[in-house]
Amino acid sequence: MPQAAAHWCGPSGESVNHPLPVFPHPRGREFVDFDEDLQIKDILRAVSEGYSDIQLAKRFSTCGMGPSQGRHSALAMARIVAGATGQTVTSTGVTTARPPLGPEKIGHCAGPALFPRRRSAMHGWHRSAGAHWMVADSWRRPAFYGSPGRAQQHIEEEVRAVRERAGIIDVSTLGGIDVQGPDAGEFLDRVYTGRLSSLDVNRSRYALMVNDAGAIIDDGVACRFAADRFYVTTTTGAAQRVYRNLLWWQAQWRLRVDIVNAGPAWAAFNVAGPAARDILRQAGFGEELNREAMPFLAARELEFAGTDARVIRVGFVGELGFEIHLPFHAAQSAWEHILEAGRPSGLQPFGVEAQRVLRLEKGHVIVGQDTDAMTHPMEIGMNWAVAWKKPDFVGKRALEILAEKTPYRQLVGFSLPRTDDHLPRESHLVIHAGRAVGRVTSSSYSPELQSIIGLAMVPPDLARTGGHLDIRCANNVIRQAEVRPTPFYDPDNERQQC
Amino acid sequence: MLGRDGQPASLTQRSALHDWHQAHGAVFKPVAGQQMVACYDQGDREPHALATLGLVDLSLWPRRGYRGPGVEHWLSPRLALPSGVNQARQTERGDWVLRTGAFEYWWLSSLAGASAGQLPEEPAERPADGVYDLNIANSHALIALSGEEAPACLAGPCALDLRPDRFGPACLAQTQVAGINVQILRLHALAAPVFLLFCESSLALYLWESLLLAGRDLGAVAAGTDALEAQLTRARPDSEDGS
Repeated sequence: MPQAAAHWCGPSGESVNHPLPVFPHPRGREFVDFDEDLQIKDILRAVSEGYSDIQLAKRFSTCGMGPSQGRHSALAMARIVAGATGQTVTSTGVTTARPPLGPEKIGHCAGPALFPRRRSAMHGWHRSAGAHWMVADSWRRPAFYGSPGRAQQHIEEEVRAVRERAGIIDVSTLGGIDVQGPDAGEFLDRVYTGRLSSLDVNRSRYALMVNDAGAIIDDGVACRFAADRFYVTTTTGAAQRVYRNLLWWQAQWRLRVDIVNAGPAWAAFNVAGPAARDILRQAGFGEELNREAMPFLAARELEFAGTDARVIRVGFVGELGFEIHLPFHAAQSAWEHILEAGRPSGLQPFGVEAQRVLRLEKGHVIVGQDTDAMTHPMEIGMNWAVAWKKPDFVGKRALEILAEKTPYRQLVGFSLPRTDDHLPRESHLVIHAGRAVGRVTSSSYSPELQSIIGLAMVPPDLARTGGHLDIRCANNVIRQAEVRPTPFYDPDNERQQC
Repeated sequence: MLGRDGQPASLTQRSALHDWHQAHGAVFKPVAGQQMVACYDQGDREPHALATLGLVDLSLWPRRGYRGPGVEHWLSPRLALPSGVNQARQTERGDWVLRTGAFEYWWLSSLAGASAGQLPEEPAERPADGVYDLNIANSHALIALSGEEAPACLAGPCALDLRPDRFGPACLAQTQVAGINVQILRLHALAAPVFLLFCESSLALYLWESLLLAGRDLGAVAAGTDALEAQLTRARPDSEDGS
């Protein structure tokens, strides 16, 4: 038996499950997946590089991802992985084999390709200002402003502007939902983990949503503008899904609420930085935004230049910040006016890349990036966002069960010195004792801290502050990072709450 | 011009298609209190184009929306409401009332005539609860698609059969056009068919360009409100329920 084929057998030399019809190929061409041209050695290489979980091995090797969709290869790969890791197929499991793909007709490819693209009210302004675009769901958002060849420099300049003066970012892609009616508070208590019925009028609160299994599916901010009127924001990618979720639950519960997908009517931007309040005062918001009238987490409906506006004192980037929602058709005019008013104070637009650095410095998670389809609040340190004493809410039973179990992973912060290459990137693996035990969820260079910072999902025994994580970067280079408490920046929240 | 405490006196309302209009030589003029496209450089072609196939951006045209369990009781004494969902009705003054849900109505100002572009004050004595505002003036863009070829233009991107015998005057449908949600209203029988298409504002440019693409071989052109007004004034509709 060739060396590669020997891995089909268990540690004792016995077959993993039962004798397999393995016949060594005279020239060593031991194919596992004919679609993807994969041999036994390719699967073994995946395992040796740390992708020892059957699902990771599949994705790394692409075994089972061709037209036959694993019908031929899934079990064979499972046996090879089991053999190479000293397990049985019972413990490795098998990947999902789906019906084979059908060929696409040429006719289907003819005609115009229609891909719906959303544009914010300020899209044209961003383009004129030299925005470099990034895809965000069906939107295009400015990643940064300036030439791609100097991307890192532009991003760092934008970060510094927010930390030292003020920046403005278009956040119109966020979802927005009006929940109104006598039972609005009760309804939101049932669909979010926190208690929102106790929210004072003109106040906002972080709102976390989990599914029936307790997994995080969205987060946002809930604002109360009247006793029976709330406005909740959602993440960009989940806006439609959350709205559908709310409608679905309301169809079951029949509470006295009305739910409107209000997001499309609003454009929104966030003015953040130590000079934000002064700039908005210059722009005409006056004393309505002073510290007493608009403390941290306040939310108010105002009139600005004869137009309705909603202003929320929130700080995703960790500075004094005002999220301003204005009617879609009036938003660009307001954006331009505020930028003009802020020019003497050094206000400048910033893009999503800078926003990601800023929020990472604050240790704020992005749902869908720092969480996956199984992540529950306790794993990312958000027990505080769960009102355990509420009688019930979607996912409560599952969270109670999960809370009693021994956690098997935890989101931690890490940092390491900056170098020019081999930087940890999202999805790079955390290696421990030769096995992949975790992954990087966020990583970036922090101009403020002058080091690489990031978040990683790791087993609890690796989550101790001051401990070390071995992160396998490009070209199999292992970089050692130190586990750090979050937030990395302004841990007492003095800047965003000022 | 600055107003109170450095505020602008007012915020300029811009359609989501504003940049497209500018790039294509639009001539703006105040219509219904907003700066809307009166015509493009090739303005003399537009009346003819609207008889064949033309698109007009009416995103800034005045409209309101209401919903909630009390809305029918509140509106019915003042407005003749459509009798069923997905139906529309034109009022005596030329406004359109669209019933987009069991408890949801959209109120669109008349497109032509003396009251064009003006909405009357909303009914007073709003009930304490059960009636909620919908900001459809901002949430949705409004595009008019006019001309004999309009049903043919929509035949590709929309699965509905929009020919007159299947989708008659004052019919309203909530469907998909080019893969996005769109509400389509067919106006009363005119010299040529006119459809009003509502889509989310953020998708306005996508829908606009998709319609121009779908109508390219049919001669589709963009037109301004001057040509649309002429088109609508040429043949005034009879007021009937579209049920």
